[in-house]
Amino acid sequence: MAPSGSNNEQSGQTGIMSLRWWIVGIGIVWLLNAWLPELISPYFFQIIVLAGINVILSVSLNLVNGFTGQFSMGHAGFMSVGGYLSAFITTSLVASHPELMNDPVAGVVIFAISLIMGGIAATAVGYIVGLPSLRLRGDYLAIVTLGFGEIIRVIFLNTNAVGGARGLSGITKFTTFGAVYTAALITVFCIWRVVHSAHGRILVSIREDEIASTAMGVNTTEGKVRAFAMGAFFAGVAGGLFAHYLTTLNPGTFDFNRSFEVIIMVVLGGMGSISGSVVAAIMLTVLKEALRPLQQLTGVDLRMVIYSLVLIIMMLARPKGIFGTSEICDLFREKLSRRGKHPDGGSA
Amino acid sequence: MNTFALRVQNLSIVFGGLKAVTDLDLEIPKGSIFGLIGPNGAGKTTIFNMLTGVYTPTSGTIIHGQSGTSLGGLKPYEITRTGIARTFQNIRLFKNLTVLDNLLVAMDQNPTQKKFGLIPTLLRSKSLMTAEDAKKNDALNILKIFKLDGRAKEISSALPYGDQRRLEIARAIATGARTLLLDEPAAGMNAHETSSLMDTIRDIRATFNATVLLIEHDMKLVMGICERIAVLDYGVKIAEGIPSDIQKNPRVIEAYLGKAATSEHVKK
Ligand SMILES: Nc1ncnc2c1ncn2[C@@H]1O[C@H](COP(=O)(O)OP(=O)(O)OP(=O)(O)O)[C@@H](O)[C@H]1O
Ligand SMILES: [Mg+2]
Repeated sequence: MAPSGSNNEQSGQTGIMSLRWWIVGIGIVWLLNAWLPELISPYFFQIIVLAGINVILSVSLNLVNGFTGQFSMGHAGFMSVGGYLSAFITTSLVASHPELMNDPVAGVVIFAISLIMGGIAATAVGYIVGLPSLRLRGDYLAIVTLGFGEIIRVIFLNTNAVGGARGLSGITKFTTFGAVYTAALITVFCIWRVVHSAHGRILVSIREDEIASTAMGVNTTEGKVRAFAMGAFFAGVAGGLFAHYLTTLNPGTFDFNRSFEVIIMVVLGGMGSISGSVVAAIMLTVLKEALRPLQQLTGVDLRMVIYSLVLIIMMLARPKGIFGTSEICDLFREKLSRRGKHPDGGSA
Repeated sequence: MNTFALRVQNLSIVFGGLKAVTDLDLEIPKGSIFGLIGPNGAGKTTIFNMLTGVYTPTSGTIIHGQSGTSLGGLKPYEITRTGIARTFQNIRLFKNLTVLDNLLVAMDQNPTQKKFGLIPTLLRSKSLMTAEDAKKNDALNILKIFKLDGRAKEISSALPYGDQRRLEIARAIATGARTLLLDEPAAGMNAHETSSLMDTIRDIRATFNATVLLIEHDMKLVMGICERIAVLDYGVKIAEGIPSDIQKNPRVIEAYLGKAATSEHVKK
């Protein structure tokens, strides 16, 4: 039940969270990558790609908002740092060495490196934003990250190297199903393991009671900043994937609405539930695309209205989100044991 | 090695105009069980907050016997790592964590504990898993002393009130600290629970070679287990000595027992 603690899983090397299964998962993703685009319509393909990116965003924000209990509203800002930097790297390289493009392996390597660089840049910015604001207790982080999102937008608006108000265009469409879902699997895996470790226990203790946590010897500022920086890293990677899928970027791409969407995913799925974030990210991506025709029909953007409605209904029906702080597997286990069966399938 | 666990000199703190603690001198002998008593609002918890770095004293020094150094300017978590841990008057457990995890959080911070970085955490290296198992074992052993090992997997907020107070003490020990500051450990306990708590406090002093400084209103507990007692009234220490002397001290009776409680408390 508890969101943290390695006692959820007695041994780390077996079960669904073992490294082996995740490598198999990535293998399957690349097998699918070859023919998925031909199997399904571009419309569904787009939904699947965007859902994968949103999974990365919501799971990484959950580390900060759900597990550590700090309210960040700046995820879009970190996306834009990662998105702009990685797009800048690949476009500059493609411009200066067009021959690289003929080599698919070189393309993948350059893209992977640019994504990681984008993530690292976002992490660095995360430290700069997080260090002063996470020292303080209370809601400062929400205010600072809100401001940060705006500041970063204005900075890109006024930076000619990345196109200023026009933005960056002609970005190579490196983002594939395989790239998105490899990144998503790695994100979920890393955050799962961190949360279910001594580091994760520290984060959850800060959420539970910061004063008690310090009294137990926890350097709470360090813990919060680390979680925040790690969340920023994955947001930066997601930004890079998004940029190389859209192929154009402008300062408005990562506005506050993006941050808000991700927050809704985290709240909806359950603060402190990784599987909740995954499910909510997929649900909301589908919902958003399903609402697009409605928007075209009525001519008004109803998405925010419907998001808000979904949130209100959620707050009334399940105030702790779909899964609360539990994981999907915990819920299955509970259901099974309530039916009197042994969770490990002991009975006939 | 010093003979005291903690030495406080000229400690004062002022909140706005209120002198909550004034010129306090206190020496807690190493290995002792020391009582800090006084009427409501006397400044007892405030002293704990200064000892643990939550409040910065207006003036005065606090010296930690183990290292012989001053605790001035250290952050609360740094003070805990030097070996001083506390419990809270209003229980502050990690409510949604299991009993075991409450202890593990504290244990992770124990300076003797091996720390693991991000890579071994992600890969679940063998040495990390071994260390985790050893930690869990140690935690269960501490829980055993408090007879809480049977409830290790329960969510801590589901424990009965008395057990929550005991879990807080267990958690303080798990930090590795051997100077324990207990703020009203028996508050809300019935007579039976209180007397078992007294045994536990004696037990942990013996097992861990600990020094215990405790705040308590329950006179039976204070007089029963404390070797020395300091009495505080309006932020000023008005008496210090062995329990039998404190009970007889006219200033104490006037300030503390003298109010409604003379008959009630002495009867106990
Ligand atoms: N942060 C603070 N700001 C202002 N005044 C404070 C603060 N903390 C404590 N005080 C005041 O200092 C005095 C001592 O409070 P303290 O909590 O130390 O009392 P106590 O001896 O622990 O009492 P009790 O037995 O009721 O717990 C009280 O008058 C209290 O109002
Ligand atoms: Mg008090």
